[in-house]
Amino acid sequence: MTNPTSNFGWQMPTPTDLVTDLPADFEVFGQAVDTSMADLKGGTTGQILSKATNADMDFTWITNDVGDITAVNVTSPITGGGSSGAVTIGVNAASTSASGVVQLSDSTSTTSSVLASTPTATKAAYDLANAAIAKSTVTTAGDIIYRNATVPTRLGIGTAGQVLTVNSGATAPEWAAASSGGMTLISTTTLSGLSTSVTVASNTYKNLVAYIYGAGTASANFNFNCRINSITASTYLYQQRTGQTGGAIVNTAGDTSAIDLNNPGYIAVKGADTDNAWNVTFWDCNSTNRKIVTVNGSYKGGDSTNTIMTNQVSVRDATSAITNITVISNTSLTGGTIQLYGVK
Amino acid sequence: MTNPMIRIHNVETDEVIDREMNAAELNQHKKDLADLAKIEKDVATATTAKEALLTKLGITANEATLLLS
Repeated sequence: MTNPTSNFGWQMPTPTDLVTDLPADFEVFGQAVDTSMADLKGGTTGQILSKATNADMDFTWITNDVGDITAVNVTSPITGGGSSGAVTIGVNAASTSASGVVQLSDSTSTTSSVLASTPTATKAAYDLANAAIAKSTVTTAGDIIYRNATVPTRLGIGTAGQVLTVNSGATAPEWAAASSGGMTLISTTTLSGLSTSVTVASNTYKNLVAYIYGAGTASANFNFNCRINSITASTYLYQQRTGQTGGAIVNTAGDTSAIDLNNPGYIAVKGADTDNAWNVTFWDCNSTNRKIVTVNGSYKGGDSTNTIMTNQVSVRDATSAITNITVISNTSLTGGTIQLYGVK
Repeated sequence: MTNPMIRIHNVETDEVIDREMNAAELNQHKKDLADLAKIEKDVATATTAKEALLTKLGITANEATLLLS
C-alpha cells in the first residue's frame, strides 16, 4: 500500500514514525477519512446518493426517483393512469368533437364520420378527381363541354338564336345561325287528265306538303285520291276519315289502294265547281318508317247542297322514301293545281 | 280510241309530260273505277237498308242518332 493512500491521499503512519507520534498520526489519518466521507453522512430512508459536482467524494442524498416512474397522469383522450400498483391506460375513440383513436378504412363510399381514410382510399379518390373534367374548363354561363380529339374542351355559349350543329369536318359541335326553316315551294303543277304525278326523287326535306286546290272537271262530279310512289296495292293502312256529309259524320277505316281526298261512296267532288282545297302532308318523307299522311280538305259536294269538310289520317306501310306523289281522279280534270312544299 | 291522259311532272328537271295511259295504267284506272263502284254500291246498299230500318221503326235519322247517343 502506498502512503498516502493511492485513491484518497490519506496520510498514514510510516514505519519510521515514533510510537509516540502514532496518536497524532492516526488523528491526521482519521480526520482525512472523516472529511472524505462527510457527504455519505445523513440521508433518509429510501434516499440514494447522487453526485453533487464532478469533484471526488462530492455527494448528496436525494429522493430515489431518478429514472423511475412514480405516477402516470393522463389527460383526454388518454384514460386511466395512477401512481401506485398496476396502472392501466386507454384512449378514447375519436369523434368530430373530440380527439382520440380512429379506425382506418379503405372505403371511398362510407359516410362514417368516425373512420379515417387510408392512403388507399385517398388515392382512389384522387384518381377519380384526377380523371374528372376540371371545373375550370367552362368559364361562362351557358358554356358547354365536349370532347375534342383528345380531351374535354369548352364550347362557349353561342349568340341569341343560334343553334347547335356539327362542323363541316364532322369533328366537333359548333354554334351556327338557324336555318331559315319554314316551307319551300318545290313545284307547281297544273292538274290534268286522270292522273297528275309529281316526281320528287332525292329531296332532302323532312316533310312534304301538297297544297291541292281548284280541281275541277268539265262538268262531271269526281272522286279524288292520292298515291305514294305509284303504289296501287291496298297498303294504305288504317285510313281514318271524318267528313261532314249532309249533316252526318262519316268515319271509315280500313286498308285502301289510295288515299282518299273526298268521301267515296258518300259524296263526290262537284266537278263544275273549283271551290275546293286540300292540304296533304307527308310526314317524315325520307325515313324508312311508315309514312303518315294527314289530309285536311274542303270541297263542294257533288249533290250541290253540301260543302264537305274532310280530315283523315292514313298510314302507308312502306319503308322507302317518298319519291313520287300522284293525284288521281275517276274523271279527267280540266283544272286545278298542286303546289308541293318541302319542310326542313 | 285514245286512252285517257295523264300528266307527269319531274321536279328535278321541271319537265312536264302529258301522255296517254299505258296499258298497266289503264288497267289500274279500270280497277280503281271498279273499286269505287263497289264502294258506292256498298254505301248505297247500307243507306237503303238504313232508311228501310228507320221507316220500319217509324223514326227519323236524327231520332235514331239521339236514341243511340
